[in-house]
Formats: sequence, structure tokens, C-alpha cells
Amino acid sequence: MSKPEFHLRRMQSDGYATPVEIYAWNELPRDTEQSRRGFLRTTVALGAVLEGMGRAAQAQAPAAANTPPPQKALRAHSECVTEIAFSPDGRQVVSAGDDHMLKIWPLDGGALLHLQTIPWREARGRPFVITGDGRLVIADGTQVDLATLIVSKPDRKPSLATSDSYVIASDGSLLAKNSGSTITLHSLPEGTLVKSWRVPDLHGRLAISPDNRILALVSRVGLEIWSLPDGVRLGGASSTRAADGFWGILEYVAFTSDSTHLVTGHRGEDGWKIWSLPKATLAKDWITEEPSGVAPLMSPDGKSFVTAGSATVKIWSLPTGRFARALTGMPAPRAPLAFSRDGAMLATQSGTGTQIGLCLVADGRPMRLFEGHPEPVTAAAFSPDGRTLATGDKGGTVILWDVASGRLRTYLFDAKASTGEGLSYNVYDTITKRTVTYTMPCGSPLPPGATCICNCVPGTFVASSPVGRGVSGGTNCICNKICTCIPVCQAHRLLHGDAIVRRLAEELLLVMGQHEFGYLRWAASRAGKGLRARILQIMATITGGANANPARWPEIEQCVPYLDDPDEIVAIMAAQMIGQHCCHEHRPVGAVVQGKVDALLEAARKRPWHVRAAESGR
Amino acid sequence: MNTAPTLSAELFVIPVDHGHLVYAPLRQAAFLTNAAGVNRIADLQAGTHCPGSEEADALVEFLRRLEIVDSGEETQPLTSFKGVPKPTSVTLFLTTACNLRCTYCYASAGDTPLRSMSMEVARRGIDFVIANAVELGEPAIELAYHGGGEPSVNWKTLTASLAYARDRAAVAGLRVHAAMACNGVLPDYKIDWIIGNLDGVSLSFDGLPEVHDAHRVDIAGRGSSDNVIHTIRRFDEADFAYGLRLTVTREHIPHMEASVRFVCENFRPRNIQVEPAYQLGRWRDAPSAETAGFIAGFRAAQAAAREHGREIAFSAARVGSLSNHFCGITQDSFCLTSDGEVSACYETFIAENEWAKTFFYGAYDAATDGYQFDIDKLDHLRGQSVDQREFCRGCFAKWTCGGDCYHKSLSVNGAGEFQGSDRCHIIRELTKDQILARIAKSGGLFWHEERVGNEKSAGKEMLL
Repeated sequence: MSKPEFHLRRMQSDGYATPVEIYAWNELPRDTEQSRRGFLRTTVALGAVLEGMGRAAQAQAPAAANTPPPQKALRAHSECVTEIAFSPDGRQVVSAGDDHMLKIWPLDGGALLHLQTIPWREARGRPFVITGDGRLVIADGTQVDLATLIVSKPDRKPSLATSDSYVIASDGSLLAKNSGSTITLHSLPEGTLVKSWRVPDLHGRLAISPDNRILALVSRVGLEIWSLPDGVRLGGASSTRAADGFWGILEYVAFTSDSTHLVTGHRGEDGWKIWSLPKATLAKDWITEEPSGVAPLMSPDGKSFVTAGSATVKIWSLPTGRFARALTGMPAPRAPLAFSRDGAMLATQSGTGTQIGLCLVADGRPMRLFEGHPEPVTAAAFSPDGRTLATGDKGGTVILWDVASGRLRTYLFDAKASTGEGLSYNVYDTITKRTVTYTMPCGSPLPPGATCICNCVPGTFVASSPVGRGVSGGTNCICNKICTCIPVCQAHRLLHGDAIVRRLAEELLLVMGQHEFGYLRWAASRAGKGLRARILQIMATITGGANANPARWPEIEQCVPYLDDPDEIVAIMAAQMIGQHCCHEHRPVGAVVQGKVDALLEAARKRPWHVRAAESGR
Repeated sequence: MNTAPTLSAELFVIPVDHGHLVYAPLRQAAFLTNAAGVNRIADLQAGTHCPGSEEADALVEFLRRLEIVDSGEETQPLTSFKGVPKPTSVTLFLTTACNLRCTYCYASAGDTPLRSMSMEVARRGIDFVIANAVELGEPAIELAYHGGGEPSVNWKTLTASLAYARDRAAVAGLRVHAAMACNGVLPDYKIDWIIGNLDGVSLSFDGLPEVHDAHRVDIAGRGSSDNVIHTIRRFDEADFAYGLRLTVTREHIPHMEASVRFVCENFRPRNIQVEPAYQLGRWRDAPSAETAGFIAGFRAAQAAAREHGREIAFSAARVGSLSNHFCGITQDSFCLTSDGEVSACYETFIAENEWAKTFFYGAYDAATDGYQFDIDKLDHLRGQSVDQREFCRGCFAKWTCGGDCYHKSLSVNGAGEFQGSDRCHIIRELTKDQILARIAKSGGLFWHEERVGNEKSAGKEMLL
């Protein structure tokens, strides 16, 4: 066998006649027959690559200090996420939002697979169910096979008015809707009318029992139940008068999984009733101590019922209604969000509302606390195997978490739902088959398939997936927090004659930390012997764990005179340090000083990178 | 002061369809370019670079950002061992007996002379690594069960040795990481023990039941897939950490994709390793599976795995893990045979093995109540790291393959200087795939990753 020799050597072919090009190598969906391994190669001019690496985007990048929190624009939906569910095989996540979009995603956090508009935007009801055989059934009768993503439309779509409420049977075979005066029953997916009957002015919520035999309606009047599909009234009960003299408005209704009991609830007073079926005989009536107005949650096996008070979440046994236990140990548990499929784990909104607490139902013991949502969490679902938790928030962000480690796996990302100013990203859109550039706030986690073309320093593209290398989850843009040019310039002022300037340089490098090592190495390679040694020393200090130390920072008053320093880099460093003080101590500065700081930082951002690079080599 | 840009990375140029893959393994950087790009970089290397043009400056800047230019000296991932070994890991070859008679068994397990490790042999090895760990200040020892037969057949020593190790380690304030290679044909009580006591298991399972049963048969020639699938399901139910190793014979190469798909659709292993059957032991005279067909099959299987969000692995293609070693044979690997000899190689487990004289480098000495090592032999083994192999010098895969399996190279080349093998071609092709996949995953234009230390344990692919 001949000896391998792959070391760099001159090519004898088209050596110099053609311009240098960089080939893009993108993975394509498997069904796209572009090449033998599902990869597509396209040609990109070198200038464009470098442009993409940051030169052009740099000029437009806003100051990090002025950008919103990193994740804010990394959205799956443009508005509040209202529903999340997994396919039965756990491979897909389905989310729905107030943007009236229903979206299907692969669990691995890849690109959006399918979009569907939610019909009847104003009508009240859960917009879809996922059946046990893997069909997504939407309220207008549209069905999506989650394995193949084949969409089938009904021959006749049931119509709904904005004030109607509706419910889809769990097996997707029935749709019941209530107009307030008439209840109509449609078979799905055909959409044909099965039965209708009149009800006297009863707007409210509907539920269909898991065995499809009973329809329940709760309203301001009380509870009504009918047999299905014939619509024969089985029973009912009037709403009771609450302690304050008002009639309680029933607005929660759910069947136990064995269809033998029904739970109803009042708004405001948090009174719950358990009814035996099929006659709607009252079996248990109790009031929780701390009314919160938060919707309760029933476990998948119908044996546990979770209510939320202002400071506690309590678990009750069904059908007895006996108090089982309270969740303790989690910071301010709020609304219950989701049970795992086996009922063993419960996810709750916690703390400020942006956290998710996970606890064991058996003993109420806290397991994990997930932090990362920029807005209050509004929806959650466990994967069937319980390994992944999907959560959505009020701002449209959807996050997949690794339950075992408690770490973030990835964000679900739809570029169309994500707007914001800041850095630019290239995203290969698998739906339109085009590469599109979007802008994101500085520091955003990059969605899978996206290329950061912001003014990141080289070497800061790191795998972000917290569940290990090689697992999808995109990358984190940990771009320079201040200005690309400054680390170089700062590094070259580490041996400045003025002690304040030296301290500015040292402390700002510590603020930047290891994120800027790519540049610091470059700066060291351009520096003289003594300066190079000092830069390497600073790097070693940072590697050894040194962090920014505000106690060593030059005071604002000490920095202000340097804003007018003839060395622009010194002036910019002073501006940066004042900015750090303001951020750290939340201390405003005077309008004049602030104006100078803003102007210096803005000027720094607008300087072309290559000019700065050349300067740094002086 | 401006200076001429200087190349600061060991660069390889790998031909790909209509282009060239420029790869800097120690910078963990790569990109695809045309011949003009390669020649401009060659100019930089030769010192004939002509600065000034926009294109030339842009290229230098691009390379600089990938740490290929002006980024100082590279650090080679060199680890070397000297003197008397002080291992903190021990691998026990518990037995040569096996409850299966796999047609392709490299060890001819069940046919070789029956050996069974006594508790005394195990105890000495465990005491030795615990003493070393205490001396070196290590927080844990590693205890592995492997080789030559099915470890779980010697159940008594398996369970007693782990209990002993845990007891002694606890006294010394050490943790024990325990793992085993296993064929998966286990009764439930053994499965229960494994789940409760081991940190991980590497299971041999070939994918589709019909493929598995064609080779992995019991003494009566019956397929073992039902048993192994039961074990895997038990592991999945317990969320136990296990890896699967799929061995592919030549005739089953066309089924690789379906086998991997079967695994991904039905089980949840932590890792999936796919290897061609070795022409060793009972498979010595069988047709080689180390072919271009294997590479094509592996690619198809990899694509199938990725559809399920999974990756499959080949032992010597491991971009992202830099090392000058393939496995422990150059790193004082401390394996004990049933008779108490010290072997450096998992595939050399009794004195009758062809290369036992090469890999056996020590034994217990009752007179000193310690192990005596043949340092000359050990130094010879230590000298097999890839940085000391002339043949591998120009190979782009050297820092990730680490020189591949020395035992296999001996089988192919004999004891002379390494001259390459069919595996080298597989390694290079699959390594190239991994580089391209990383480029694609990084956005499609280039790959560049911060280096996060050396992978000390590279090569321990058999044990989790």
C-alpha cells in the first residue's frame, strides 16, 4: 500500500487562472437527490465568505448593551405559545400560538417541518388533538399524518362563528361546537353533521369523554351533560352561589381517563366538584384554600388533579378528591403545565413565571429547575419517553430541555416569527429551499442550520448543545460584547505608560474573558516580545479563572478625562469602562458624558475592521 | 509593524469531487476551495505570497480567522508514558468460555483452551490500581470486563470482584467506574445485577434480527437475537447506559442501513458503533468486509441514523478527538488475563494467542507480591503511537485515528514496519465525511472549533 501524502502542496491544474473560491457544503434533506450523500455544493467567492464572517455586518451591529435579552427574538411563534404536544412516537413536536399558526417540528431541533393555519381564530377551544395513531386532527377537519406530513382536507369544513366554543374528541372522530343556542356534532374527518340540538343561551366550555359517549358543557348556569352521538340529556346541575353572593361561573371541565367521573371548577373561588357519570351525581365538593384563578391540570391516568394557589401547588387524588400532597422545595410554584405520560413527573410554572419546575408526583419532591425563557411560560409537554420537555412562552419562544440533565437542548426556531435588530444570520430554509439572511440580537443562540455572519471574533463559534457534542441544537453566537476592534487595541495598550490606561486595558480584557481569545492570540502574534508576553500572561490569568473585578475598575470620574484622549482607542476604552460601570451599578451618568460615550462607541462600531486590523499592527 | 503572514498550522489538502478540502486538524478547522485557493495557500507556505490585492488580503484574513495563519505554534496532542507503569484502570479478561459460537468471533471463544479467572487474580489487579490511584491522587479507578469470552459466564468472579473493588475503593476514598463488554445473552437476574451495578455496557448486536442470527448463534446454532433484544429492552426500560456494536460481514454490507435503522427505531443506545468483521479467529479465512462497499454502506447507515437524530461511529474515524494513540496499547493499558498475565491488548487474552509475546508485558510476582513488567516490551508498545510512525506522517487522519489498531496492523503487516491496511482507506473516507459534515453543520462555509484538550480515553470505544 502506498504511503499516504496529503500535506499541502501546489496543485498543477488551474492554479492561477481562476479566482480563489470557497465551496459551500450544505446538508440537504435526504429526499433531495443532489449528490450521493445528500450534500449540495455551491460556490462562494472568497470575498463573500469573509464578508459573511463579519466585515460587512460589523458596521451595522448595534451595541450589545442596547440589545434586548439574547433569546428574545429567537422565536417559534410571533405571539404567545398556547399549546405544545408530541407525536406518539416522540419524533415531532407540535406547537400552536396566538399567531394562529400550528407548527410541526422535528424533535432534534431541526428546521420547521410543516405549517398550518389554525382556523376559527376567535372561537374558543383547543385547536388540535393528536390521536394515538399519529394523526394531527385540526378543528376544521384537516388531518396531518405526522409520520409522512401528508395533509388531508375534509370534504365539508364545519363552520364556526367567533363566539362559538368547540372541542375535538381525543380520537379525532368527533367535533362538538356550541354557538350558545345550539350544539352541533360533526364527524371527522368528513365534517358531516351528525346531530344538533338546542340549548338555552348556554355559552361555555365543552368536553367529550375519552370513550366518546358523553358531552359535557359548563357555563354560568351550571353543568349539562348529554349522551353521544344522540344528544340525549343525561343530567345536569345548577351552579352554586358563592360566598360573596355571586354565582360562580363554571369554566373548567375535564373527564377522568376512564370516563367514570367529571371534574368541574369555578373561576375565582377555586371550588372543585367531582361528578359521577353517567348521571352527573355530585361525588365530592371542595374548595382549595388559596384561590388563584389558574387552570388546574389532570394527570393522564386520571388519578391526580393539580390545583394552583397563590403560593402553592397541590395534588389531589381522583376520584376521591382527597388532598394528596403539596409541592414543596420549588421556588414559588405557579401554574401546573404538564404531566409526563406515565404521570410520574409534573412540570409547573415557577418563580417569576419564566422558570419551569419539575417535581416527582409521588412525593412532591423537586427534581429540576429549568431557566432560560425570556417571557412567562404558557405551555409545556413531555415527550412520550419522558426524556424531553418542550416549553413555550408568552413571547413565542419554544425550548426543548433535556429532562435528565436539566439543560437546554435547543430552541425551535422559525425565522418568520423572529424579528429583531442586531446580528445577521444565514438560514437555509428547507421549505423555500433558499438561504435567507435574518438578523438577531447579539448573543442569540443560533438555530440549527444558521450561519452567524455577525462581527464575531474568530474562534468563537462553539458547539452550544448542552447535551453533548454532535447533538443538534445549533451554535451559540458568543460574539464580542463590545467591539471587535477593541480587544486588539486594548491588548496593545497593556504596557501603556499611563497606569489608568493600563488598568482600563487589563480590566476590559477580563470583562471579555475567554470569548476573545481568538483575537488575543492574533494580537499577541502582532505584538513585540514584551507586549506579547503580557498578553499571554493575561490570557493565562483568564484561563486560570480570573473574572472581571469591579473593585479594580477605574472609577467613572477617573475615566471621564480620557474620553477626550487624543488616542482614540484610549478614549473608546474609557467609554467602555463607563458603560460597564453603568451596567454593573445601574448608575446613570450626566447627559454630556453619556453623549460622549455613545458617540465613541458608535464611532468604534463603524470603523471598518480591516482598517482597525492594520492599525493594530502598527 | 506589518510582517509577512505565516502559516501556523499543519495543513492537509484532501481531494473531493471537483475541489479540495483544506484541513487543519490541530486547529479543528477546514473548508473547501478550488485549486487556486490551494495554490495561494501553498504560496504562503513557500514564502512567495504576493500581498496587496484584495483577494490575497481576503484569503490571508480568512485563514487568520481559522488560526491557519499567524496564530503561533500548534500544540500536538502528544501523550507519552515512561518508566514503570502505574495504571488506575484494570481490564479483567474473566474467561475464554462463551455461551455463543459467533461465526466471526475474533477470539474463537468457546474453542480456545478454557480459562477462568479466579478471585485471587482479580483481587491482585484491583489492589494494584487502587494503590496507584491513591499514590497519584486520582479520584476514581476504572474496572472493565472484557475479552476472549463472555465475561458474564464467569459470574462468580464478575460479581465478587466488583463488590471487592467497591469495598476497597471506598476505604481508600475512591470511586469505581465499572463497565463491561457483553453479548447480551443474559438471564433476567444477571440483567438486574448489571443495571444495578455497572456504569455501562457495550453490547454486541448486529441490527436486523435475521442479520444478527446469521452469525451470532448459540452452541446449537440457534440465533440469539431474541435474547439480546430482551436485554436491550430491559436496559431501555431502566434507562441504563449501553452502547451497541454492530459487526458487519461482507455479505451483510447491503443490510447495514436497514440494521442501523432497525436499531434507531427500536432502541435507545448511548452510542452505535459499526465495524467490519475482523479476519481473525473463526473469521480468519472469510472474505474481507473492509471494502469500498463497507464505506458506501456506512454512509447510507449514517444517513439513516441522522434521520433519527443519531450518529453512528467507526472506531478510528473520530474527528473532534485529537490523540496520538488509537487505544491503550501505547498508554500502558493494564489488562489481566485469566491466568494473571498483563496484556496491553483486548484481543490478546491468552498466552496461546499469536501476538501474545508482543502484547504480554508483565505478570504477578509472588516473591515481591507485586507485578513485574518487561519495560523493553512496554517501550516497544509505547512506541507505536502515530507520531512515531513514518508511514502515517502524511496522512490527514493521523491525529484522529491515532494509528489505528496495532493488533490488526500486525495481523496484516506482520511485525515489520507498519505499511498501511484496507482499514486506512475506510478511516480516511469516513474521516473526510465527518469533516464535511462538520462544515455543513457549521453553516456550510468552514468549520472551526475551539480545541478542548486532548481526548485521553480515545480508543476505549468498546467500553462506555
